[in-house]
Amino acid sequence: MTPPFRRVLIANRGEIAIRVARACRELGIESVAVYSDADRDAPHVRAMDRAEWIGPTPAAESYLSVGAILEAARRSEAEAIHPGYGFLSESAAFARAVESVGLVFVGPPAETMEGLGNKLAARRTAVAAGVAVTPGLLVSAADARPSEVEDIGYPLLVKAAAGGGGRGVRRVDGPAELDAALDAARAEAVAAFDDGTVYIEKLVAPARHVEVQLLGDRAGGLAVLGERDCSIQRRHQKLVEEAPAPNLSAATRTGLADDARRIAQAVPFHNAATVEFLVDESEDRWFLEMNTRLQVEHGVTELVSGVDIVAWQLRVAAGEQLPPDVREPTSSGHAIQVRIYAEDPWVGFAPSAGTIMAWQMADGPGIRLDAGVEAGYELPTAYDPLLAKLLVHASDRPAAVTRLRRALDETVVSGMPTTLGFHRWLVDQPAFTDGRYDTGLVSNAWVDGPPLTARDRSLAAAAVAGARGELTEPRGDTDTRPAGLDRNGDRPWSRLARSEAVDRE
Amino acid sequence: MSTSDKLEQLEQLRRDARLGGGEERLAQQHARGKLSARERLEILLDEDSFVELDAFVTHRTTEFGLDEERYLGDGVVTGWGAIDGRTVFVYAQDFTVFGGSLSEAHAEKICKVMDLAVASGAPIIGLADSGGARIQEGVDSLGGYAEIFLRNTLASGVVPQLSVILGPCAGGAVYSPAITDFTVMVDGSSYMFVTGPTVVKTVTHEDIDFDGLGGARIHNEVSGVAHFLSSSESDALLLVRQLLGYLPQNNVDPVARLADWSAPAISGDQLDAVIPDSAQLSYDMHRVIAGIVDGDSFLEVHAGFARNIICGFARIEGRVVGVVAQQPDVLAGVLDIDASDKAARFVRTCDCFNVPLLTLVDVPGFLPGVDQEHRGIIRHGAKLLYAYAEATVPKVTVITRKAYGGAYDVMSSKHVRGDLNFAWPTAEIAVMGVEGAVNIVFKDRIASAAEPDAERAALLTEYQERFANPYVAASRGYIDEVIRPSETRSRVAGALAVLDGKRQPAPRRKHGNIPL
Amino acid sequence: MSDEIEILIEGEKVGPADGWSLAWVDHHQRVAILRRGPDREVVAVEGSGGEWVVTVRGRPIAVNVRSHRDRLLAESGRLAARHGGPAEVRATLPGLVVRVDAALGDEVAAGDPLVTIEAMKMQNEIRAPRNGRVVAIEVVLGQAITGGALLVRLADPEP
Repeated sequence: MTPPFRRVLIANRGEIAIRVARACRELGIESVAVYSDADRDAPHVRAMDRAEWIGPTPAAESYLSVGAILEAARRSEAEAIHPGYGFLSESAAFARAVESVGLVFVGPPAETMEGLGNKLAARRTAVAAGVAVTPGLLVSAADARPSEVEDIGYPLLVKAAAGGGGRGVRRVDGPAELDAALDAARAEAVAAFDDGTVYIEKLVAPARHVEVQLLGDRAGGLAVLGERDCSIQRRHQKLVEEAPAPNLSAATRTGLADDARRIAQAVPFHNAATVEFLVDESEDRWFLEMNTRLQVEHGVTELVSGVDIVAWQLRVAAGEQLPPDVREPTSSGHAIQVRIYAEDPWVGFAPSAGTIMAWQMADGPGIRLDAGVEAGYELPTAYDPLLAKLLVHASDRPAAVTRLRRALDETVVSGMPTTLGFHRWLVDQPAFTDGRYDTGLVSNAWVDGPPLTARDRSLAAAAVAGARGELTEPRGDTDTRPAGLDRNGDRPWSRLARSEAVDRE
Repeated sequence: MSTSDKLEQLEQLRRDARLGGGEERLAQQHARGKLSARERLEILLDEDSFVELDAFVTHRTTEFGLDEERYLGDGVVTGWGAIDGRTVFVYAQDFTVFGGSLSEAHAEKICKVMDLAVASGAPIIGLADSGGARIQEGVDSLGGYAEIFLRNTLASGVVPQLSVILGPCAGGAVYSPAITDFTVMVDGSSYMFVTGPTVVKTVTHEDIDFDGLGGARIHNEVSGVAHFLSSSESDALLLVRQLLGYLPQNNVDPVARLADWSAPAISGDQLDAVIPDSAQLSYDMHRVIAGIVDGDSFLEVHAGFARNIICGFARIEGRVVGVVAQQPDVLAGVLDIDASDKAARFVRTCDCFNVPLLTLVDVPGFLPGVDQEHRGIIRHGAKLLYAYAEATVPKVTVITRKAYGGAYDVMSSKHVRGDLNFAWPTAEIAVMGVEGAVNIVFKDRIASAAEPDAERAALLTEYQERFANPYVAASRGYIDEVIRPSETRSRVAGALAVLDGKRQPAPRRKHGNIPL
Repeated sequence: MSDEIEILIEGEKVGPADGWSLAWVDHHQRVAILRRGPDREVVAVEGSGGEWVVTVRGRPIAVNVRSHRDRLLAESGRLAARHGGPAEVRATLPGLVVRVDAALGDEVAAGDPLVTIEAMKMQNEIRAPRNGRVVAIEVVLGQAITGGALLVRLADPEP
């Protein structure tokens, strides 16, 4: 097979940069890493064929700098740029800038981002395509408090209209809380996007977060690669994802796929994207938004569909068409991904910092690890705290849960608190093992995490009792060698004693 | 008795011995804010390293009803253990048994571990907490003291001897710590004196309490009897552990060089700016030391006594070195009687245990005055001169500023066998200060000048430029190299490396006659 | 007698679980396996001396070890505290000063927090070893300090 490109610049860092580089390597593409000052020695730099420095540590001056990245692409003579996720991946301006210098942007066209990246545009597109959306309302910066809010009803959500993702989403349970939430969301929207427009929508709860993976080629070929359940979230950020979504009727699955297809067909689309839905208890579904990029959780879909989404992103970007086996993949088994973040689940998932001391990862049948770090790695605090993604694949969901538990028991990370403690708790929760959970699981069942059990304590004590002594380091102010011993282990004093004993006057 | 009964009997005796003077007295000791002898040894030594000897020794007195009162161990716990893995011999007086008073048997126990220490070439550490002689034993007790003093003397310069005073140490007993290399005292709970406040009151009518007469602060700051002041018993014992890290096992074995060390606390740039532009301004020599030695490695000896001179141990690139330095911040760093005694003792301590010497010189001379002359500054200054001249360990000297007159000669100069002598560009090596020199040399010329003051000022400037520098001495080879302050650490480290294993045989003699 | 140690978790004494044996999986990374019969648990064991962190099932657990000698040292400090004299309060381990609880001139009682140091990812309150008056504070907020560094000087309380 001829490689789709000779050389691709990967405008990202961490695990996703390494993930994309692996696809490049398998396709025979040379990969080019970019790095900021903080990432000089980062694993993703070493994972690639060459590397370009793009600026100081702050992302705004490096990974978010369109100029620096285009310059790096020019220097390295890359033919295409893969943006990964986050950073510039959903920037229509960046996609256009890439195309304007004659390079290929590995992702959906700028028009797709413009049509779907913005929350409201996306809703209009969905409504036009006949897909249900949650009742919602746009509130301009000038509009104090529109009366239509009362028609939507409570509880509802307030968030910045621009941008995607789950950051800055506020829950409002009654009219009394609305003004404060509006003010806060506006302030945040102005700070983040320089646009004070906020968006209000009905809160569907309890609900599950289910999304559909799409892959399209430039000739209009479209693959609907099935759905994922991403309901386990903290602060509206995903922690655990699985494919297929558990306990969903065949009709709903088909319905979700059809909805996603209709939305993709309503706009110019190619490459990879995800359509997100909320599904409530009666399996009614509402379109949430479309993510016009590769998702963190694309791996679970790859495992069950057998389609290498990243490889196909590169291939369709180069003009290749999706073959029938990709357009109609046969789904097999069940996959679950847990995200290993440097966050302390016991203190509200607050980011933790430090140097990774132990890094022992699970191995064996049905395990996939996408990692961006290694033992001894000092985590820069400037970026996303995602360390790695641990994925398991098995014949069915119960087998996958068992495999995940086994994998977590093999996995050890030390040096900083991580979300592994949460995941290990999760796999023993009936709500999870039964596959009957919703987006409220973390806030309702985990809350601030369980206290230490007697078993935890006595195991920790046993570990210290066993390790103590063996690991005790020599005191800092002395040599490890007993004083007076020369290299032969012989003391000058005893040599002198021996010679005196035989050399008497 | 069956074998198991016999084994049980042994265990019972061991339990009895560990109790010392009994639980009641132990509680009293704790109530006084003090630890027991065994607890002190546990803090001093590595965990589980203590091996006790003579636990079953008891006194042999039958007088005064003492035959009714015997305690296993007889008021002192002796044996050996380890400090950071190195063997040390120890004795700890047990105040709960006869107030830690010294009997013949008690003294024999101490002598036994001292003999073992000298035979095996290991340091000896004594923890003193004793009311004094066991009066009931009379001359046997006095004899016991003398046996210890003799061994202290014979062991001097062979193995390090360290004394920690953790309670009273009075009368003749004080002479054992006095002969040892280092004495540590605890603020508020240790006392040393030859005669106590009651006798003092009778004889000299001076009214004084224990602390004022012989407390830890008095001996650390006024008399110089003690070298270290600790705020608690545990600090004192941990200090001994730290101090031992700078000393060898004996006068033959070397001190281990550390494989890892940290950078100095003061940077080279800061060192370049330490010396003030004006000779009238002082500076803190501790900063200079901190700019030369490994970070956190300086352990000052006699920190509170004769503060115009600084003595202490440090490491440079992991090698132990004894530092002697004038302190311009105190009395301009002048050499007086106490400073001479303090430094002389330290130089000889380093020399006998093969610890190289780093001397930092900024000395305006010996302290003038009737008091000093009458009390014998000549005799005391001579000790320091003698100590430096006699020392055969590697001697590295750095003149930072003033090196005037006889004090220049004394302070590890080339002429008294300084091995490598450096000077900073700020050094002024001369017979005396510029003003004094001009007034003498040009006395007639100034007197006969039309404007004497202007003439003197001109001569001062001229003299200053010609002679107040290190280059005249360097031209004679008295200074091996003039260096930037920031180069000092690397030069000294290099000097210590090349001088490692230096030989300088002395003529055979019984011993020199240092002017005591 | 001196080999007795106390293991403390969240300030409470904990007895090591019976019958578990520890074997190293990766000595360099300090990963070990605890085993008892068919039960097994892979753990990370960081630390030394008195301060440890054991990661069990993904959860870091701070473990303090106090040997008989440590207890004696504490006891000695306590005894000295009761009997006056100046007290220098020093850091027990290297870390970062994250809070200065005491102010110059404060009258403090034994056990009052003086300075909080973050080390081993834990906040350690350094407490007054005795009653007294704060006469010097030698560190500032945000300062990185070495083990044994002088933090606070106490003098006798005002009579």
